Amino acid sequence: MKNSLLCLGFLLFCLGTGCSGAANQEVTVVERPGVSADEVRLGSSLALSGHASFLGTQTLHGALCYIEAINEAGGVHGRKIKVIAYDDGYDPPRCLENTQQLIAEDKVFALFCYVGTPTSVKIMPLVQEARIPLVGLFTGAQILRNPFQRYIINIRASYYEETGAVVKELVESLALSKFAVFYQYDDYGFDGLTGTQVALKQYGLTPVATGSYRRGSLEVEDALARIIASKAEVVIMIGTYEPCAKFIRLAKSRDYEPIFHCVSFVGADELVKKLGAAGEGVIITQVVPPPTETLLLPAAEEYTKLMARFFPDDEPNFVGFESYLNARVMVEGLQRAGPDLNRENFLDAIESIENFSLGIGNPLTFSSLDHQGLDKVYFTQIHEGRLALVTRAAAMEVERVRRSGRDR
Amino acid sequence: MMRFGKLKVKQKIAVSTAVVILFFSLVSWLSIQFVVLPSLTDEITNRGEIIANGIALRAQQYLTADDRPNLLDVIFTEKWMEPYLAYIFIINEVDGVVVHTLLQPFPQYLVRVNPLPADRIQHTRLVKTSFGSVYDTAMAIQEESHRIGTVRVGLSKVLVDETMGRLANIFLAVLVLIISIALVLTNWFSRQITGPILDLRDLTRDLISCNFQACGHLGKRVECWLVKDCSQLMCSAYERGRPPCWLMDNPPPPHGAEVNPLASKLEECSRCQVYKENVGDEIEQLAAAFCHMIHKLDLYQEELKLTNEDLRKLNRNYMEMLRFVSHELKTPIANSSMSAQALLQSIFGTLTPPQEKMVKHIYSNLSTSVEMVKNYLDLSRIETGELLFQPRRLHLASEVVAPTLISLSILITANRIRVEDLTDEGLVLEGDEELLRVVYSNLIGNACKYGRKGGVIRLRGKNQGTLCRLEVWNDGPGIAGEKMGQLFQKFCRIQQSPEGAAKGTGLGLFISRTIVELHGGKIWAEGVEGEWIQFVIELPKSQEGSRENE
Repeated sequence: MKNSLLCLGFLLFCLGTGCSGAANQEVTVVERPGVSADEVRLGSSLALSGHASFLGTQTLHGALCYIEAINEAGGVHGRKIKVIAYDDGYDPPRCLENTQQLIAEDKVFALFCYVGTPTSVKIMPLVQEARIPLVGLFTGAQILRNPFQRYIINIRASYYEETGAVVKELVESLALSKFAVFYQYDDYGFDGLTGTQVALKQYGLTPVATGSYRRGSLEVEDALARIIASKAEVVIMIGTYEPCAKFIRLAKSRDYEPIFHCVSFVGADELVKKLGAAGEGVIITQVVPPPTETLLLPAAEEYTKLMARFFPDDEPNFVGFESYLNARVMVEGLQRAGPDLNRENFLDAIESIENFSLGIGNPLTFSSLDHQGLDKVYFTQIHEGRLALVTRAAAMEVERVRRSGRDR
Repeated sequence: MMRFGKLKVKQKIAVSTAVVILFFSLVSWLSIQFVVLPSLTDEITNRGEIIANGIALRAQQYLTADDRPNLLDVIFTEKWMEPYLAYIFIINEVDGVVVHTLLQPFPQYLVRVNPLPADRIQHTRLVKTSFGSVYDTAMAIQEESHRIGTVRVGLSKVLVDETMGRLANIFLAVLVLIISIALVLTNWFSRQITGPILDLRDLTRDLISCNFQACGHLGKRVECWLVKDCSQLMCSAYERGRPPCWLMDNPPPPHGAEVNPLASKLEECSRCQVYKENVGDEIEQLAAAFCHMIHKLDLYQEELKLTNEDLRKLNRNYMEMLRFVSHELKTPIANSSMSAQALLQSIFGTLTPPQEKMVKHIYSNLSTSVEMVKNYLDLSRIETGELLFQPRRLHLASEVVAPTLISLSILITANRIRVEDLTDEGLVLEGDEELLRVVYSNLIGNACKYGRKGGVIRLRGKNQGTLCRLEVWNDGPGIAGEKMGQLFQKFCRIQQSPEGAAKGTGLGLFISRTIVELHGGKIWAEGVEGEWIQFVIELPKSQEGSRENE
């Protein structure tokens, strides 16, 4: 009896393994697309034209100024870095087309310096399918961070962290409770709106009003009317510089002057230009320190010098500075991966970065379960036509002065 | 079939169960292959057609406007919703492939593997590609009934294969589980069925081999009915402190005790409610009945043994008494015989003819009495096992036959019998001289007594290989053939002397047979009634050979 049971079990086991084994066969072949003896090709799709062209252009210039300097110095392990950049005009389908082109035809090693949430979100499945690293996105969307994805390397803090920081400051320090959200009607805006709602919920609050505009348009009037009607004390703005500037100007023209806050993606430098005097007091959270702090920050100094050399027509700005830092991380990863470069050991190299000093007074750290290198949020405020790094107390002081002036 | 026939009941049940399960498994698997697989394939092709149709409708405006990014967005959105999509591509009637979902340069052969005929708007077929087997659906993109392009959707057959693989794994797991459970259960059930039967079989074997202690072994394996939690103190099956299985664990009653109470207890129990509630199935009842029967047999056997022993003792006492009496009688009778002989020989004066006649009569009776006493003494020695057997090499003719004839000469002469001694002079064998003389004396004496007056006794003795064949023949009336077998029994007296005067104890031939058998030989009688009778003895020449043969 025992023998017959054993025989039967063995037979069934063989049948089982035979059936399932054929389906599970998988051959792993290490490919090195985009890597040759003297070159590493990186691909980028970003807005080089259209209403967000400033973001794309400065992102590309900020990265290129550092990469050009590296190439001049001989590259990384003897390989020059070549960046193939396509314009997507901040349009997700075009970004998708460009990315497919970069992966399928140009066979780039990694994707780099993508700009915008809807564009980046659109290509996420493509990144997963192609198993290609996507490094340094100019977006703080939560969906690119959670759930964890091995092939996506974020460097900056998220929109959740930006909105969380500003809500915390305004609720706890100034005891404000009426928050409105003005957002772009796409993944970027939804992400910022959700981040704000999550932050407010910790204090038992919800937005008193929300208003949106369509991406690529300047149709902000309806949203403005709704928010003015709510008499919100704070307006959190999740948009790009042109619609946000229009919103603020229109609001002020209608004697509605709450605290305006924009997240970093707005393009602070361009916003300042667009707003002019109307921008006074607008708070913009940043994920990198101001590039103008050349005396304090070695990275800012280097960025400023490189920009002056390679892109003399551009002024140093937050967007470019963030991209410059992204390029620093990219090069550090290539350096650590060694001469025998492939996508997997590059990701391992990135994950090995711990307490790495970029020269911004904020160490960079990754791990195998954490692909966001920086977490710090900086507060800046438009004051007399310039962006100034402010402490939170200073921001509150400005607010106090502004309020007292209005009372008079 | 032969092998199956040789299996035990338990194994047959297990094998039959396994065969039935495997049969149904085969049927199930065939139904999966011929019902589930085709329906799965149909579902896949339908899904491919639905996807292609959806893309064709949404792509129409973008294809017209040559908006490639949005065309790409449409097909990628679909692709990411269906993980088993190998590819999607859209063909413009003018430019060829406009967009596709591959992350590699588009292989142009795909366009040709499933071209959509001009007269059809949709077509699906299974094609072999570099992505494996794919259900390729071609769907026309139309604008006002005019084909402006074709969308091609490739759904990998891996979905079917994986589903079938999963089904196979689940099927196998369930099969293994069912077979395991079935085997365990059938094993258990068959053990429940065959266990008591096997015990009964063992019991029967024990009974056949007269092992009446088997009931004790049975108790280790078979539970009799249990009288549990009986609260009826009046119930005879219940006694405080009694083991639950009272019938099995009860020690047998002492010798002489009444056995019936067990049977009556069984009878009572069968009517008892407690018993009825606790009684086992029919097989257990049968086993218990067997057990009860064996118990009784055991007791009867004990009784028989004891009775037998008593009888042995009685017989021994009787034999001892017989020997004592015979021994005590032997001397006075012998003395009386000698006195009678002295009177006949006129030592104490001449007798008158009537006196002489009476004394002869007295002498004859005393001689018979002496012979009887001798026989009884021999019988006593035989029965009590005290008959001494002291074999040695001896010449039969000179040391046994001749002295016997001399000792019987008076009898022979008195009956006017002619003795022809044809015994081989050189016949030598190993035997007890005294005992063999007794045998010859009995046989010749019988021949004298029961043979014809004035007849003939013929003695023969010769070698026959390792045996000696001895014959004592006489021309007496003999006996009927059917009575031959009774001749050698104790106290048997079949032969009648011609004059009807011969008296005997009926022990002579019994003693002779005993002595012959003591020598390792055989004795029998043959003859023709009314004409002749002959006693034949076969004796081994050597006693060692005889013992070895034994």
